[in-house]
Amino acid sequence: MAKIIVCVDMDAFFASVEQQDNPALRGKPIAVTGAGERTVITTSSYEARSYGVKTGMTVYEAKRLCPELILVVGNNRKYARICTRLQEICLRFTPDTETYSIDEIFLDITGSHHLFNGPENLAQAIKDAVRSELGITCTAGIGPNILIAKLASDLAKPDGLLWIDEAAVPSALDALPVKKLWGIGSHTEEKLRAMGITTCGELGRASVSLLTKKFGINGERLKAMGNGRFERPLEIVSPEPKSIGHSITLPRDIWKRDEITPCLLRLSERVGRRARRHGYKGKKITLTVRYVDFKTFTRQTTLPASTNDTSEIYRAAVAILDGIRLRKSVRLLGISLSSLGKDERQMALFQDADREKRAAMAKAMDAVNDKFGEHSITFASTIGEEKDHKVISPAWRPSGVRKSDV
Amino acid sequence: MNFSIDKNSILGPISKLVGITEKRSLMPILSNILIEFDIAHTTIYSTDLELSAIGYIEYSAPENKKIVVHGRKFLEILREMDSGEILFQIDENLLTIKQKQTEIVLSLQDPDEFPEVKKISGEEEFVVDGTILLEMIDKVSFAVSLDETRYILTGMHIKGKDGSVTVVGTDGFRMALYEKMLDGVGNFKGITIPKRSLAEMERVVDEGEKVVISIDEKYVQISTKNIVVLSRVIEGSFPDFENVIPVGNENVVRLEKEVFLKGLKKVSSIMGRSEPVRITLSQGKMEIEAESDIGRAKEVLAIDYEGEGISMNFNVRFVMDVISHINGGTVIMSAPSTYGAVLFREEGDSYKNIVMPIRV
Repeated sequence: MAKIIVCVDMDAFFASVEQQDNPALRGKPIAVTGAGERTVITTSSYEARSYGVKTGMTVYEAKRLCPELILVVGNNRKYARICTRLQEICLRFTPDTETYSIDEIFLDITGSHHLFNGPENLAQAIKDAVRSELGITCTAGIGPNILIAKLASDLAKPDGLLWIDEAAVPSALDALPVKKLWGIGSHTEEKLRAMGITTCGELGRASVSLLTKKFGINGERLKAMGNGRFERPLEIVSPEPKSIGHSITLPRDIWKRDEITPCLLRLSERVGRRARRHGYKGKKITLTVRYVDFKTFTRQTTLPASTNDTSEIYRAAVAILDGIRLRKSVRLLGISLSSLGKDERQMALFQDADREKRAAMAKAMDAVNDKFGEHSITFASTIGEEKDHKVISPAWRPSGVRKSDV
Repeated sequence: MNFSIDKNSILGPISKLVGITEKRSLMPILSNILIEFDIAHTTIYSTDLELSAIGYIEYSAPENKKIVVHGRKFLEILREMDSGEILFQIDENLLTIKQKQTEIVLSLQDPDEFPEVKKISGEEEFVVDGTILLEMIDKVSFAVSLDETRYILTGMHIKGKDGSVTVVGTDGFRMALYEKMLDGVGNFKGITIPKRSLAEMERVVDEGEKVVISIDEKYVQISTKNIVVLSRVIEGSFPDFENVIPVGNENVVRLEKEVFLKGLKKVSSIMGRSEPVRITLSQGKMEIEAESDIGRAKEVLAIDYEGEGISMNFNVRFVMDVISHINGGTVIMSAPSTYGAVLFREEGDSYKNIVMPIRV
């Protein structure tokens, strides 16, 4: 049986939430940013978008395009809470949902739409519930797979509802620029253009051998996408995480080692704490450095044994840092732990006093922070650090390992 | 110098020694072997600085001459030659190998560059039958750690006490321990032999031949009639293994080895990489259970058991490793009342295995 997938996509999510909470912002060009002076636009309202304000722009650029732009510092906890409630609403209609990002949820309604008088009525019911319970609007796209459902929601934005059923797929895609397809970025678009392919229809008709030559094993998948076919099923059970990481845009550019290391310690503690909470250990440590000019690079190291110990993560990160000659001041730092495995519950024959002591200390610190809030107890050298200016990651999820503190 | 040697008399020793040459080209000279022709006999040396070997060939050369030649390439050439005599011709720094229509010329390295390989005259020395040595290595080396974070555990520990030798292998979670009475063994402080050296030793020792083991603080050496293997020992202190052997595990059960192993195999077929196997003992029966994403499995064995009802989780590989190394038809398992180290052994007291359970 052909599947029926719904993509529920919140309209200008963070901005809508802020406008809902503060009537003075409604109908005005606003942009949500991170905290701190040096941050970027995370979301802008539709009013601001008409001026060309886009996600990822610096505040300076955005202000130049739209001088009357109102800036609002994002409140991540609020968005996380609403994301969780959105998921709860969707679960009333089917148990098979995938929270793809903080503001997009996919639902597989193949087996349940008949209970709600068909796909369109079901989607309308979700939209109504979101509007009445969360006070904001969303767009629902319906299609035979997530590619088409996502496309439908993109085309119907904002506050829309569009069903592209299997029969309508060819006509919907024929003249559509390839870049509109989910997963085709400017890089792929550029390569396709060089081959004379600009629309999905052309992509669907292109020869597989030609595409395979250019894109390798992805060639076949691209052709299928051009024809509106997409194999990926919903990830209803969230897959095992591949990495656990945190990053921070610094309140000001820094370059001295003794300014950088406290930040690394703080990041190491957050990474270690999240890994410990979910019982993961990792073998690879990756350090991300972004210079003032936004040039970003990563370096990684593999530890001899898996760890979730803050001091081991920290030492590895500092060792990487010491191996780099910084060429400019640093704007952002990030640490992530990968090659993850579940924490060993295998009991040891011989006692390693040192390791046990550190694990016991981490456990005690975690318990204090669980009870009294993050950073209630922390390393003395990080105390001088100002509060983090976090921007909620698109990878955030309402539950599981990806639920980081916001 | 021109001379000829029968292929088989040189191929055997060389193939045993070439494994010890350095494979990475950190020090190119170590990819070579040194052949020392002598009017009395011929000696071959190979080394990677950690591990060295000396081989003896019953061959009297027309004159004394040392050559250094690429080990693996030389071996490959010898293998490809037909059986029978092979002609060698050594000039300045070239070795010409001839047989029938074939002529191969190899360039030689400077013998003075080859590191010195010196036998030790050990502080401790004893003789062991090759069969017994191979058995000792086999019974414990499977438990030796591969994880280099605790480097000392990546080797087999060997210690002499009151006329017996004890060998130990452990990865920190399970431990295999084998004790053997041997003539001429005194008390000697334990040393730890790297896993790789063990593998080379296993390769060169033949069953039934006499092997002399010599030990000093930094080296261990095994000598057979035709070959000597010399290895550095792993520095550092090996954990106190005697202290962790459980005493007084009073829940004892005797199991038929094949039945136990089969039961574990059946149950583990549904397991993924990391799930534990659960072993439950109760009056008259043992239950082996496992559960994974794809399903669950259970095997019930009738046993003669009168101890308390207990249940433990294990890494199934640890238990299967132990059972498959136990001689005879019976496995004796002794578990403590409190969740902890379980002892597995065969009849007699010489072979013990300790396996730590997985926390629930």
